[in-house]
Amino acid sequence: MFRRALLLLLLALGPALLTGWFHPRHPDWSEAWNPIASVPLANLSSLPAAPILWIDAREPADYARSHLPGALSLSETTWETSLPAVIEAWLPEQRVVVYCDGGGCLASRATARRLRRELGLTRIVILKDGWAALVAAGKASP
Amino acid sequence: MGRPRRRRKGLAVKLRSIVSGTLVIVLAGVLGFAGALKLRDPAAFATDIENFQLLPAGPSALFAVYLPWLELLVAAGLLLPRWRSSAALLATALFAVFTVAVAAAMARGLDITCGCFGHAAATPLRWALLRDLVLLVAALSLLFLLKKPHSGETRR
Repeated sequence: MFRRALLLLLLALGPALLTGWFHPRHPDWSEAWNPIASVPLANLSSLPAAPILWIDAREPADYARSHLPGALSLSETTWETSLPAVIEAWLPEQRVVVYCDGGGCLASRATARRLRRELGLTRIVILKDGWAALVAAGKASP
Repeated sequence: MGRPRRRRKGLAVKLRSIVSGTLVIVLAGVLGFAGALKLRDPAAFATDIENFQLLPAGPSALFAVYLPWLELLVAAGLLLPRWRSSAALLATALFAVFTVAVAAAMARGLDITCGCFGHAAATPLRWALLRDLVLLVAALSLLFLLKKPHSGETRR
Protein backbone atom coordinates (compact mmCIF):
# COMPACT_ATOMS: atom_id res chain seq x y z
CA MET A 1 0.00 0.00 0.00
CA PHE A 2 2.75 2.47 0.97
CA ARG A 3 4.80 1.66 -2.14
CA ARG A 4 1.87 2.43 -4.43
CA ALA A 5 1.09 5.61 -2.46
CA LEU A 6 4.67 6.74 -2.97
CA LEU A 7 4.38 5.91 -6.66
CA LEU A 8 1.27 8.10 -6.93
CA LEU A 9 3.14 10.94 -5.22
CA LEU A 10 5.98 10.59 -7.73
CA LEU A 11 3.69 10.19 -10.74
CA ALA A 12 2.14 13.60 -10.04
CA LEU A 13 5.54 15.27 -10.46
CA GLY A 14 5.71 14.77 -14.24
CA PRO A 15 2.50 16.54 -15.26
CA ALA A 16 3.11 19.13 -12.50
CA LEU A 17 6.42 20.07 -14.13
CA LEU A 18 4.76 20.38 -17.52
CA THR A 19 1.99 22.51 -15.99
CA GLY A 20 4.51 24.79 -14.32
CA TRP A 21 6.31 25.23 -17.61
CA PHE A 22 3.67 25.24 -20.33
CA HIS A 23 0.29 26.10 -18.78
CA PRO A 24 -0.88 29.49 -20.08
CA ARG A 25 -1.84 30.43 -16.50
CA HIS A 26 1.25 29.03 -14.75
CA PRO A 27 2.53 30.86 -11.64
CA ASP A 28 4.99 33.71 -12.19
CA TRP A 29 8.16 31.98 -11.03
CA SER A 30 10.35 35.06 -10.94
CA GLU A 31 7.83 36.71 -8.61
CA ALA A 32 7.37 33.53 -6.56
CA TRP A 33 11.10 33.24 -5.81
CA ASN A 34 11.56 36.97 -5.28
CA PRO A 35 8.76 37.88 -2.85
CA ILE A 36 8.17 41.39 -1.59
CA ALA A 37 9.47 41.78 1.98
CA SER A 38 7.13 42.44 4.87
CA VAL A 39 8.86 44.91 7.17
CA PRO A 40 7.88 45.87 10.75
CA LEU A 41 7.31 49.57 11.41
CA ALA A 42 10.24 49.68 13.86
CA ASN A 43 12.64 48.54 11.14
CA LEU A 44 11.37 51.19 8.75
CA SER A 45 12.10 53.92 11.29
CA SER A 46 15.66 52.68 11.75
CA LEU A 47 16.46 52.63 8.03
CA PRO A 48 18.76 55.32 6.59
CA ALA A 49 16.81 58.52 6.25
CA ALA A 50 15.49 57.72 2.80
CA PRO A 51 12.18 59.34 2.03
CA ILE A 52 9.20 57.01 1.97
CA LEU A 53 6.17 57.08 -0.28
CA TRP A 54 3.34 55.54 1.69
CA ILE A 55 0.61 53.73 -0.22
CA ASP A 56 -2.71 52.97 1.48
CA ALA A 57 -4.09 49.80 -0.14
CA ARG A 58 -7.30 49.74 1.90
CA GLU A 59 -10.69 50.48 0.38
CA PRO A 60 -11.24 54.17 -0.53
CA ALA A 61 -13.92 54.52 2.17
CA ASP A 62 -11.42 53.46 4.86
CA TYR A 63 -8.84 55.85 3.42
CA ALA A 64 -11.39 58.69 3.47
CA ARG A 65 -12.21 57.95 7.13
CA SER A 66 -8.61 58.07 8.26
CA HIS A 67 -5.15 57.47 6.84
CA LEU A 68 -1.48 58.02 7.53
CA PRO A 69 -0.67 61.68 6.81
CA GLY A 70 0.91 61.91 3.36
CA ALA A 71 -0.17 58.42 2.25
CA LEU A 72 -1.77 58.01 -1.15
CA SER A 73 -4.73 55.74 -1.75
CA LEU A 74 -4.24 52.94 -4.28
CA SER A 75 -6.42 49.86 -4.24
CA GLU A 76 -7.48 47.29 -6.81
CA THR A 77 -10.90 48.91 -7.13
CA THR A 78 -9.54 52.41 -7.89
CA TRP A 79 -6.33 51.40 -9.66
CA GLU A 80 -6.88 53.23 -12.95
CA THR A 81 -7.98 56.51 -11.35
CA SER A 82 -5.47 56.56 -8.47
CA LEU A 83 -2.33 55.36 -10.24
CA PRO A 84 -1.52 58.67 -12.03
CA ALA A 85 -1.30 60.49 -8.66
CA VAL A 86 1.08 57.81 -7.35
CA ILE A 87 3.31 58.07 -10.43
CA GLU A 88 3.36 61.85 -10.10
CA ALA A 89 4.28 61.75 -6.40
CA TRP A 90 6.93 59.03 -6.64
CA LEU A 91 10.61 60.03 -6.75
CA PRO A 92 13.28 57.51 -7.86
CA GLU A 93 15.18 57.69 -4.55
CA GLN A 94 12.04 56.93 -2.55
CA ARG A 95 11.26 53.64 -0.87
CA VAL A 96 7.62 52.65 -1.37
CA VAL A 97 5.80 51.15 1.63
CA VAL A 98 2.34 49.66 1.14
CA TYR A 99 -0.03 49.03 4.03
CA CYS A 100 -3.53 47.66 4.42
CA ASP A 101 -5.76 46.66 7.26
CA GLY A 102 -3.70 44.34 9.46
CA GLY A 103 -1.88 41.03 9.64
CA GLY A 104 -4.51 39.09 7.73
CA CYS A 105 -4.93 41.73 5.03
CA LEU A 106 -3.96 40.66 1.52
CA ALA A 107 -4.51 43.92 -0.39
CA SER A 108 -1.07 45.37 0.40
CA ARG A 109 0.68 42.35 -1.12
CA ALA A 110 -1.50 42.44 -4.25
CA THR A 111 -0.97 46.21 -4.65
CA ALA A 112 2.79 45.99 -4.07
CA ARG A 113 3.12 43.16 -6.59
CA ARG A 114 1.14 45.04 -9.18
CA LEU A 115 3.21 48.20 -8.62
CA ARG A 116 6.41 46.22 -9.01
CA ARG A 117 5.13 44.46 -12.11
CA GLU A 118 3.61 47.48 -13.86
CA LEU A 119 5.99 50.25 -12.81
CA GLY A 120 9.12 48.18 -12.28
CA LEU A 121 9.59 49.46 -8.72
CA THR A 122 12.34 47.59 -6.90
CA ARG A 123 12.46 49.49 -3.59
CA ILE A 124 9.02 48.41 -2.45
CA VAL A 125 8.02 46.67 0.79
CA ILE A 126 4.87 45.81 2.72
CA LEU A 127 4.26 47.16 6.21
CA LYS A 128 3.94 44.21 8.62
CA ASP A 129 0.65 44.35 10.56
CA GLY A 130 -0.37 47.32 8.38
CA TRP A 131 -2.86 49.84 9.67
CA ALA A 132 -2.96 48.26 13.15
CA ALA A 133 0.80 48.87 13.54
CA LEU A 134 0.47 52.52 12.47
CA VAL A 135 -2.38 53.13 14.91
CA ALA A 136 -0.58 51.33 17.74
CA ALA A 137 2.51 53.47 17.15
CA GLY A 138 0.41 56.64 17.19
CA LYS A 139 1.29 57.50 13.59
CA ALA A 140 -2.36 57.47 12.55
CA SER A 141 -5.65 57.93 14.35
CA PRO A 142 -8.15 55.06 14.16
CA MET B 1 -28.84 -21.87 13.71
CA GLY B 2 -26.13 -21.70 11.03
CA ARG B 3 -28.26 -20.32 8.21
CA PRO B 4 -29.45 -17.03 9.86
CA ARG B 5 -25.87 -16.34 10.94
CA ARG B 6 -24.60 -16.89 7.39
CA ARG B 7 -27.37 -14.62 6.11
CA ARG B 8 -26.38 -11.89 8.60
CA LYS B 9 -22.77 -12.22 7.51
CA GLY B 10 -23.82 -12.02 3.88
CA LEU B 11 -25.81 -8.87 4.61
CA ALA B 12 -22.88 -7.33 6.46
CA VAL B 13 -20.54 -8.04 3.53
CA LYS B 14 -23.05 -6.55 1.09
CA LEU B 15 -23.55 -3.48 3.28
CA ARG B 16 -19.79 -3.05 3.58
CA SER B 17 -19.32 -3.17 -0.18
CA ILE B 18 -22.20 -0.70 -0.72
CA VAL B 19 -20.75 1.76 1.82
CA SER B 20 -17.19 1.47 0.50
CA GLY B 21 -18.44 1.78 -3.09
CA THR B 22 -20.36 4.93 -2.20
CA LEU B 23 -17.35 6.39 -0.39
CA VAL B 24 -15.11 5.63 -3.38
CA ILE B 25 -17.48 7.39 -5.78
CA VAL B 26 -17.92 10.45 -3.52
CA LEU B 27 -14.21 10.84 -2.72
CA ALA B 28 -13.06 10.22 -6.30
CA GLY B 29 -15.69 12.67 -7.56
CA VAL B 30 -14.72 15.41 -5.10
CA LEU B 31 -10.97 15.01 -5.66
CA GLY B 32 -11.30 14.75 -9.44
CA PHE B 33 -13.58 17.81 -9.60
CA ALA B 34 -11.34 19.85 -7.25
CA GLY B 35 -8.17 18.90 -9.16
CA ALA B 36 -9.66 19.75 -12.54
CA LEU B 37 -10.94 23.15 -11.34
CA LYS B 38 -7.58 24.05 -9.78
CA LEU B 39 -5.79 23.14 -13.01
CA ARG B 40 -7.73 25.79 -14.90
CA ASP B 41 -5.78 28.58 -13.20
CA PRO B 42 -2.65 27.48 -11.30
CA ALA B 43 -1.47 31.09 -10.88
CA ALA B 44 -4.65 32.03 -9.01
CA PHE B 45 -4.45 28.83 -6.97
CA ALA B 46 -0.86 29.75 -5.99
CA THR B 47 -2.20 33.03 -4.60
CA ASP B 48 -4.92 31.11 -2.73
CA ILE B 49 -2.28 28.88 -1.10
CA GLU B 50 -0.06 31.85 -0.28
CA ASN B 51 -3.02 33.62 1.36
CA PHE B 52 -3.04 30.92 4.04
CA GLN B 53 0.34 32.37 5.14
CA LEU B 54 1.70 28.92 5.93
CA LEU B 55 4.17 28.77 3.03
CA PRO B 56 6.27 31.40 1.27
CA ALA B 57 5.44 32.38 -2.32
CA GLY B 58 7.87 29.93 -3.98
CA PRO B 59 6.68 26.70 -2.33
CA SER B 60 3.07 27.92 -2.71
CA ALA B 61 3.59 28.15 -6.48
CA LEU B 62 5.14 24.67 -6.55
CA PHE B 63 2.19 23.23 -4.64
CA ALA B 64 -0.20 25.03 -6.98
CA VAL B 65 1.05 23.02 -9.96
CA TYR B 66 1.56 19.76 -8.04
CA LEU B 67 -1.54 19.44 -5.88
CA PRO B 68 -4.17 19.39 -8.69
CA TRP B 69 -2.38 16.50 -10.40
CA LEU B 70 -2.04 14.61 -7.13
CA GLU B 71 -5.78 15.04 -6.54
CA LEU B 72 -6.54 13.77 -10.04
CA LEU B 73 -4.24 10.76 -9.63
CA VAL B 74 -5.69 9.92 -6.22
CA ALA B 75 -9.19 10.15 -7.74
CA ALA B 76 -8.14 7.77 -10.53
CA GLY B 77 -6.43 5.47 -8.01
CA LEU B 78 -9.63 5.22 -5.96
CA LEU B 79 -11.44 3.90 -9.02
CA LEU B 80 -8.85 1.17 -9.66
CA PRO B 81 -9.23 -1.77 -7.24
CA ARG B 82 -5.49 -2.55 -7.02
CA TRP B 83 -4.64 1.07 -6.23
CA ARG B 84 -7.63 1.79 -4.00
CA SER B 85 -6.00 1.32 -0.57
CA SER B 86 -3.00 3.48 -1.48
CA ALA B 87 -5.26 6.16 -2.95
CA ALA B 88 -7.47 6.06 0.18
CA LEU B 89 -4.36 6.55 2.33
CA LEU B 90 -3.33 9.59 0.27
CA ALA B 91 -6.88 10.95 0.26
CA THR B 92 -6.90 10.73 4.07
CA ALA B 93 -3.57 12.56 4.23
CA LEU B 94 -4.79 15.24 1.80
CA PHE B 95 -8.00 15.94 3.70
CA ALA B 96 -6.10 15.98 7.01
CA VAL B 97 -3.73 18.62 5.61
CA PHE B 98 -6.63 20.66 4.17
CA THR B 99 -8.49 20.52 7.50
CA VAL B 100 -5.45 21.66 9.48
CA ALA B 101 -4.70 24.48 7.00
CA VAL B 102 -8.27 25.80 7.08
CA ALA B 103 -8.46 25.52 10.89
CA ALA B 104 -5.15 27.38 11.22
CA ALA B 105 -6.40 30.17 8.93
CA MET B 106 -9.61 30.48 10.97
CA ALA B 107 -7.67 30.53 14.24
CA ARG B 108 -5.55 33.43 12.95
CA GLY B 109 -8.64 35.33 11.77
CA LEU B 110 -7.58 35.41 8.11
CA ASP B 111 -10.22 36.78 5.79
CA ILE B 112 -9.59 34.45 2.85
CA THR B 113 -11.34 31.90 0.69
CA CYS B 114 -10.05 28.35 0.78
CA GLY B 115 -9.46 27.84 -2.96
CA CYS B 116 -10.53 24.22 -2.46
CA PHE B 117 -12.42 24.17 -5.76
CA GLY B 118 -10.35 26.69 -7.64
CA HIS B 119 -10.00 30.41 -7.28
CA ALA B 120 -13.54 31.28 -8.38
CA ALA B 121 -15.29 29.24 -5.67
CA ALA B 122 -15.45 31.65 -2.75
CA THR B 123 -16.43 29.22 0.00
CA PRO B 124 -16.30 30.78 3.49
CA LEU B 125 -13.71 29.09 5.70
CA ARG B 126 -16.18 27.70 8.24
CA TRP B 127 -18.03 25.79 5.49
CA ALA B 128 -14.73 24.63 4.02
CA LEU B 129 -13.68 23.34 7.44
CA LEU B 130 -16.94 21.46 7.88
CA ARG B 131 -16.68 19.96 4.39
CA ASP B 132 -13.03 18.95 4.90
CA LEU B 133 -13.88 17.30 8.22
CA VAL B 134 -16.70 15.30 6.62
CA LEU B 135 -14.41 14.24 3.76
CA LEU B 136 -11.63 13.35 6.21
CA VAL B 137 -14.02 11.08 8.11
CA ALA B 138 -15.19 9.57 4.81
CA ALA B 139 -11.60 8.88 3.67
CA LEU B 140 -10.70 7.40 7.07
CA SER B 141 -13.80 5.18 6.96
CA LEU B 142 -12.88 3.95 3.49
CA LEU B 143 -9.34 3.21 4.62
CA PHE B 144 -10.74 1.26 7.58
CA LEU B 145 -13.19 -0.68 5.40
CA LEU B 146 -10.49 -1.57 2.88
CA LYS B 147 -7.99 -2.67 5.52
CA LYS B 148 -10.29 -4.77 7.66
CA PRO B 149 -10.86 -8.23 6.16
CA HIS B 150 -14.47 -9.21 5.52
CA SER B 151 -15.99 -10.94 8.52
CA GLY B 152 -17.10 -13.74 6.19
CA GLU B 153 -13.51 -14.57 5.28
CA THR B 154 -11.73 -17.26 7.21
CA ARG B 155 -8.02 -17.14 7.86
CA ARG B 156 -6.11 -20.37 7.42
